[in-house]
Amino acid sequence: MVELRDVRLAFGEKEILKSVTFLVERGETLVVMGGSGVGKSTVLRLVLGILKPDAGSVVVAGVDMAAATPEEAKTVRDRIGMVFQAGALFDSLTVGENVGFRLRERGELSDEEIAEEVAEKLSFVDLGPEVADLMPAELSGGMRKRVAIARAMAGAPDILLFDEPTTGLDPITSETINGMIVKLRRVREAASMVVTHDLDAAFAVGTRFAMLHEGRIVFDGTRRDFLASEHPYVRQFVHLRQSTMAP
Amino acid sequence: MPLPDHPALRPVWTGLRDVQGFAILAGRALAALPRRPHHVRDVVDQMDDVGVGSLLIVSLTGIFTGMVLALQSSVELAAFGATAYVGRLVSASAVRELGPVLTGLMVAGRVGSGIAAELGSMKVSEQVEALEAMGTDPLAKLVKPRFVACIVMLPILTVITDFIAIVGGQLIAVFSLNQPASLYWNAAFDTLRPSDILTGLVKPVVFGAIIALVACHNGLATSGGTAGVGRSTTNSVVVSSILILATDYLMTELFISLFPS
Repeated sequence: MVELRDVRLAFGEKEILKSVTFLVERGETLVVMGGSGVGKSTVLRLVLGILKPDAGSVVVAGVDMAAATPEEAKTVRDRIGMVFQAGALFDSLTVGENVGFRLRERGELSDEEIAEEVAEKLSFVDLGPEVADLMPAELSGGMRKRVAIARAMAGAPDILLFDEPTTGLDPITSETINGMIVKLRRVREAASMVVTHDLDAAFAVGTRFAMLHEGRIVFDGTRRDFLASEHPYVRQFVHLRQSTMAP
Repeated sequence: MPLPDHPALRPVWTGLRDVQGFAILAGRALAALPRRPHHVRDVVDQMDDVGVGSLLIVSLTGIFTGMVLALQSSVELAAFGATAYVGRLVSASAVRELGPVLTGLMVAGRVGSGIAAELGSMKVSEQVEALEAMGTDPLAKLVKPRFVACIVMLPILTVITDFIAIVGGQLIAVFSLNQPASLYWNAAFDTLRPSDILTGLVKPVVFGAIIALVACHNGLATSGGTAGVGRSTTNSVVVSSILILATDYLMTELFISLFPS
């Protein structure tokens, strides 16, 4: 569903990705972990086709995003739901207009049908229909994330991308958001990618785990293999996590 | 080929990249005008913001400009016993120059800064990327409606500014110079030629394009968080104001050569 093959990307002189290769199949959630600024969010932008690789290929739903025409890229993006780190809700629109944005832009549904769809998506993320009339500025951090997930779900995408979905949230809200990501994968049978540096969140939502370090995927495998990995950076990542949890 | 990386040359390369970015945006915006989607609701919203939202400031600009023009010209004309020509001076100055330029500058300050700040905030909070992620072209959704609204509403606002400036001049002519209103209005209309009206309507279309494109370019090129939004807003107002004054001079030269008196 989503495949990156030997992708290289540099911003000016700075080489962010040196050689990144992975594959995400339908029904799978690949969690990409790594330190801050290592290029995790950049990988999601490559999948969306907002960034083009300098070398290698990014194939999403059978389309090479680097060589795609604007129309082809739009067709692929119609199948992708993306949840941004801070939600990226449109400030000038109500919650309902945000969630129904993609449906309204497509112009295929009536206002009533869009309102029904919006209420259904809000209900999936445990928000009542009354929230639809609020402005994003009136929402808490957790509610913003829920609305962002509801917006990403609109239009029935089969590829879901999450950029740091639990960063900045309290543990209880984080747990709720993680539960929604898992529920979404099961309900939609989507190919999902989650980018995070939070190991707890990663293990809560992931079915496969990858570690991005110094521009390369240095690990790609199951949770059991991840915890048993001999790679020094993966060991350090796991060890530091365990030591911060120690009493 | 990489550009020579000398510290003294960096501002030059930055400036050239900026001009290149502006030119690309202008070309893409013009090319997108006839193409779907047209986002009619966004265009109407922007026209309301640019047009109706600017009515008060352009009206105040017009009335005070007209009054000052009449006062200043009456002092000079009184020396020749020609205060009857106040109407001619006010209408010619307002319609040919001051109406378009002052309307352009006021709208650059009010609307241009607003566009740059709004798009800049959207850029730094990933809202522009969110648009792209949902398959919506930011050029069609954000730039085109603002571009269309500015090039349509600026001429209308300019006509209103011109008319109110002439009314402002009339207030001085009638109440300060004790002229009959009919004398003032006859003089005001007598001096205007079709080429003046054309000049006064073409200039604001160009100014509207400058305001929208400079503001959208600065807004969408914003980086560096909230401080970056502030820089984009300031740059937008400064650059569009200077471009308005410079293109006004160039267009005046052009129109004088096209329509000699």
